[in-house]
Amino acid sequence: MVDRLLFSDNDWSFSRLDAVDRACAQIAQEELGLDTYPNQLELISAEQMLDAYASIGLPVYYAHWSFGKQHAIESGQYKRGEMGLAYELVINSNPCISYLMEENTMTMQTLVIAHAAYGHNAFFKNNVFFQQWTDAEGILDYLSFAQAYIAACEERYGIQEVSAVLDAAHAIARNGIDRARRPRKLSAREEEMRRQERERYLEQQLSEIWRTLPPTSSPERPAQESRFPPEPTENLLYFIEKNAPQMPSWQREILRIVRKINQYLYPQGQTKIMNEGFACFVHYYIMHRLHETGQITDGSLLEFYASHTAVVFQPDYDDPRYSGINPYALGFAIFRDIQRICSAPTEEDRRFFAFAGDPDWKKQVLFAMREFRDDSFILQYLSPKVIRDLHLFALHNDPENAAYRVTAIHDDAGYREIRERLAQQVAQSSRPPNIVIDKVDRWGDRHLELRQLDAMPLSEKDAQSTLEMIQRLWGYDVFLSGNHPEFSLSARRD
Amino acid sequence: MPANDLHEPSFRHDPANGSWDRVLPGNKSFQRGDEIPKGGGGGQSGREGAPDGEGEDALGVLLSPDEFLDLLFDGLSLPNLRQGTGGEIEAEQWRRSGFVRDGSPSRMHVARTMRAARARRLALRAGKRRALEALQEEREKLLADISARKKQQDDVSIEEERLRDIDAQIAVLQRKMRAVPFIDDSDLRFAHIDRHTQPRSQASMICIMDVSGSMGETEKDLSKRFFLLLYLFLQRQYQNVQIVFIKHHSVAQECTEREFFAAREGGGTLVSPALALAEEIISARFPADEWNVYLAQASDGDNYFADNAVVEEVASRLLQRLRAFYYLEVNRDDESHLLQVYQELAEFFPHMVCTRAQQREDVYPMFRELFSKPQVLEHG
Repeated sequence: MVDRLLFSDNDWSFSRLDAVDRACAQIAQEELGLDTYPNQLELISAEQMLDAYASIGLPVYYAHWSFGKQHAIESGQYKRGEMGLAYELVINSNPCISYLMEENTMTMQTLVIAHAAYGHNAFFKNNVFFQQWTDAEGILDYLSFAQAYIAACEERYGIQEVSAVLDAAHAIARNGIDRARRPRKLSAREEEMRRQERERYLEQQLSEIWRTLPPTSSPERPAQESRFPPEPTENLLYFIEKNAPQMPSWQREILRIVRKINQYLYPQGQTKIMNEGFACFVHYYIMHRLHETGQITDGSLLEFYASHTAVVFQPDYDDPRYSGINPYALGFAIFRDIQRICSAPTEEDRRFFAFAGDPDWKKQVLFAMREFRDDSFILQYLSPKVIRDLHLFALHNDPENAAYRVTAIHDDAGYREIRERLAQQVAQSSRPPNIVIDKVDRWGDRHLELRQLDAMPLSEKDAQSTLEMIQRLWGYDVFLSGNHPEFSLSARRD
Repeated sequence: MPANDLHEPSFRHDPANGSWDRVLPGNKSFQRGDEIPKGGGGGQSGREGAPDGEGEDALGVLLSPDEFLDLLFDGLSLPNLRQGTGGEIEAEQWRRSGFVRDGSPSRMHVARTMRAARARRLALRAGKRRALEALQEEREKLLADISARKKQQDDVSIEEERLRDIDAQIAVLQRKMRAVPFIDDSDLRFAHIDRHTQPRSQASMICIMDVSGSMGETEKDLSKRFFLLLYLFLQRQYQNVQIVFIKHHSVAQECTEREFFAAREGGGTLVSPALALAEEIISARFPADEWNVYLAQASDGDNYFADNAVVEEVASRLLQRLRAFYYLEVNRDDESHLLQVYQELAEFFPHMVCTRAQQREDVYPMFRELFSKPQVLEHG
């Protein structure tokens, strides 16, 4: 038992932050057994927080008008009081950088350190999805390389030019991710860059797919029927970067930058519920332990409850504040429930979960944190109790019907269905429409054919303008066809 | 303000079409199989977000009244303005004049700022640099001294003590020098720009409004909107434009701006007296070789038939002296005789411009069109 108050009034100072950090580290590491990157805490103003928001929370980012737009929207909302600022922002890098707002009280700073510097940090380091997809060592390097490269391009080719390429790249950024394949590590090391530059140069000189001269060894022209690409490919951005017939190499590099950064951000979208849920779980545990060991006052604990409940609050579907499932609420509820299923299982839990009653709940929680992503996490761990607590129900929309139909509610018959539907919904919401590159007309007018594989209708106006963006990058006609025979769009060269 | 130009497209699903399943929180009374009518009934919230979480971006921008007027009249000007008639109308221009310490970030002058920062750094570091150089010199001497003494196996503890002392001082100085910030708020310099007015030429605008009984609420409303725009435009873009207000029914009368915009009268209509009054005023106050004179008239077109011939006569005389004649006909399904008279004149005089407005929405686009094209005029 420590029994010494870390602070008694609410002004923060660097030495207090340091003491709090050490106290949190002790609980996180020794009691919860969390493994984290080293922490770097930065204090920033509300203004800076808005800036950071606008660049998707990345500390260094290239310039693009859409970030300015984001900033204008958010600072407007903030000033009108429509939006509170997050108390923290945390970067998946090594060391792990957490931004704390200087307006926060000491209690809030403690909460934020527990939440970001230990919760998120441990998640970044241990979740298998982050481990596979991101390189915490290289990201800051890569971002500053990207920033400098794009600034240099603006200098050389003009802001308008560069901005047009970025606009187009952003339009298909969500279709620029290899889902099945684990990407090579991000890297900005110089040899690597030089090597890629050389490689690209060679590729352009000798690009197989645009070779129209028949190889001297065989007198026959290659069979025209041979498709290119041999199989439909889902990474539009990558395909265009590699194969656009006449794209200057700096534009290819910009596509590559957008692609790499999106690749880096991809796991965050895939694990939002888990990531936030786990961070909430960690701060909840740490704050209580700090209180139990007499390191924070009752008043601090109450202040903590106020902001904690605000964060994990889930408005009902008919509440004006409702804007979808709150990932903090759902994730926190599930992680807490895992702990409960271990320490106080009911009959129902035993039927649903093999690990019910496991004396070592920490092991189970950490296992859940490490090995899943949102959809599989829900499939694995969403319990009847959480479904009942949140009063979840499933709704089906048939466009032919004048009414929605309730397909499952929180009862015995509905638990599994709700769990599956929610997992699907979560998986789907992080995925863009499934659009692949079907074919390039290699021997003719070089037009590009895209095909939509999923059955959900596209927003047509958006699809048309996106197609025009692709056309701009590709340089030749672009077509999009869908599942319904009557659906087809095209963007042609002027 | 249309957000179209700021829209960022991407492939996304359209939640309005297609079948989907969704899980929602907060069920209170639904049972499996219940049907909830679409379109807000049955407690279903109207706020259905896109399932992809991407909706239309609404971007609002706050404009000050000044900025708003700037946008409103952006690119508009009085046509056929003759330069150098020696006088009082002044066009405003922004001109750079020197540098100031405060201003908007977009006007920051980088070179000046860096120069000031460099000067400040040099000044703040100069003394320390001298002290540093002196210390380094002493240190070297001391080192030579130490090695010399060591060779002779003399005791060097005092010298080493002194060496440590010097090293500590050097470290402190270096830290202090590094602590001088690269850029300080006080270094910032901004380009200063100032309004300068340039004498260009002088102009007057004669506004004629029909206030007769045939002008109903709508007609008056349309006319007043037009003149209000005109008035704001002239006030904002030009200084010292003389504006003359004339209201008329069967008699014409010069009035103040307040009377003009508040005018409520009745009675029959004669247009020619108004034009005659305009002509009188122009002759008396605005000699053609010194003034650019414009005339704008708004009317529902009702006029005593016999008067139209007089109107034609006076108007064609007037047109010789005007830089432009705008006629706005309000709220009519068919074209009036008056409009026909003016249209015939327009064939001979390209600076006679006729236009019509039937509803409020027409007024501003029409106004823009009138004042955005520079018309060519060669007479006088």
